[in-house]
Amino acid sequence: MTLVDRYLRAVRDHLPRAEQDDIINELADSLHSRIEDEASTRGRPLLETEEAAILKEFGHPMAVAARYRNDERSVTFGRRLIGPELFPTYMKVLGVNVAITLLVAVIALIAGGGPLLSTIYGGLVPIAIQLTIVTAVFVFIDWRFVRDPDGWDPRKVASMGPDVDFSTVDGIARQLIGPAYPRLVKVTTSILEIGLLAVALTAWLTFGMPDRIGFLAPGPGWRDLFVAVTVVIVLSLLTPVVTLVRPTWTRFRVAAHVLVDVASITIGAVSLSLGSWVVLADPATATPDMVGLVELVNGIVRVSIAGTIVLTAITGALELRRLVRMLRP
Amino acid sequence: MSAQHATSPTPDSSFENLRLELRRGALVLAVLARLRTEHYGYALRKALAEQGMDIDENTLYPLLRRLETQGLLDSEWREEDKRPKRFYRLSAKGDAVLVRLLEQWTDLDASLRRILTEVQP
Repeated sequence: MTLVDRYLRAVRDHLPRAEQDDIINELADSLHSRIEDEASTRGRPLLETEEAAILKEFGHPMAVAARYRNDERSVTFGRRLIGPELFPTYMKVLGVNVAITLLVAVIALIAGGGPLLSTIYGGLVPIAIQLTIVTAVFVFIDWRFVRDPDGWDPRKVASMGPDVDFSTVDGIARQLIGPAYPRLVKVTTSILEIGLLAVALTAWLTFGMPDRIGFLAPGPGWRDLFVAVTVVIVLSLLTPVVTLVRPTWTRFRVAAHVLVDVASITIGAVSLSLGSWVVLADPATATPDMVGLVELVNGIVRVSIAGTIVLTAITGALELRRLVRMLRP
Repeated sequence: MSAQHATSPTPDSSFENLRLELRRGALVLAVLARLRTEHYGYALRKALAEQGMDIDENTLYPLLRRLETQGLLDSEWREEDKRPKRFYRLSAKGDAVLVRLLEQWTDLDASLRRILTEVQP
């Protein structure tokens, strides 16, 4: 596949499906005509760097496709932070995140049976965090890769292919980084996972079972599951270590993920049924503010655990399907 | 320094925005007028550039599609130089609209000339 073909496939990924062929054929003709004109002027075929310069002038695939969408919506605060090129993807990612969080809050309310107000607060906190993080990520991508002409290289542009949904941050990263993306992701995520899980395990073993934290003490949802959570963190830690050492052990990795997912869902479900994660250390001397804080903390934890169960069930089902396909003769 | 002041456009960016705004309507007129004769996209762009009206591909092609959606242009795919090319031409409706737009352009031009003559020292 030539540089121009790869570039055009990347543009296609961002176009409305019904118009893809029409627009790409027209752009292909324009690009090839321009390259032929340049070659004729120079009296020789263009070098790859010269073709890349023409594509760069043409614009980033996302920017080119955005011109056909007739959608000028953007995020502006004083100046434009997220342009029309990324805005539809930004809205999709944000919409999916908020929808999952709301779903989780409803499930937590029904399954956990906690007070309504603390569950609502518990749901608003992750929504605010997601809004901030997703917006910050898209502002950075817009500034670094779409607006800055030196932020992308036409020779590293990769197409998602026809079967890949582009409405994810993962899809954008694949587009921006290019063919090295899968290997880079495997190594980076393994190192990050090991680092995060090692910190989590250390913190969990050091501070995981306090007698009390101020006027709070661990509740049954925390206390009774200490050992089970420790085992799951250790199991989770082994997977990225093996991935780094033996990157080709795909079946092991997928099977380990499924095992950890099943264990996490089981622990989460048991934890939800136990009810509270923090309790008052001295109920007799508790003020109404202390009681309110306990309810709020339990509400946030309830929503977080329900969310983890939903997301783990989704990723676990996908991993399981992958494992079944791998084991199929 | 207030946030608003900090994000105020520079004189250069203000000029650039106004220039683009001024050009936008003129580009539509130029494209419609040029397409009284049939052209495909790349040839049209070159023809416009040769007459001093530079337009980049990312503006021209979406504009052609919009004008066709509005019924002002007709198009058909044909093979030329061993490649499929989309040829555009002004439709009957486009021709009628172009005539009226040119009248508007002439009136605007005349008004602007009068204004500029009056204010010149």
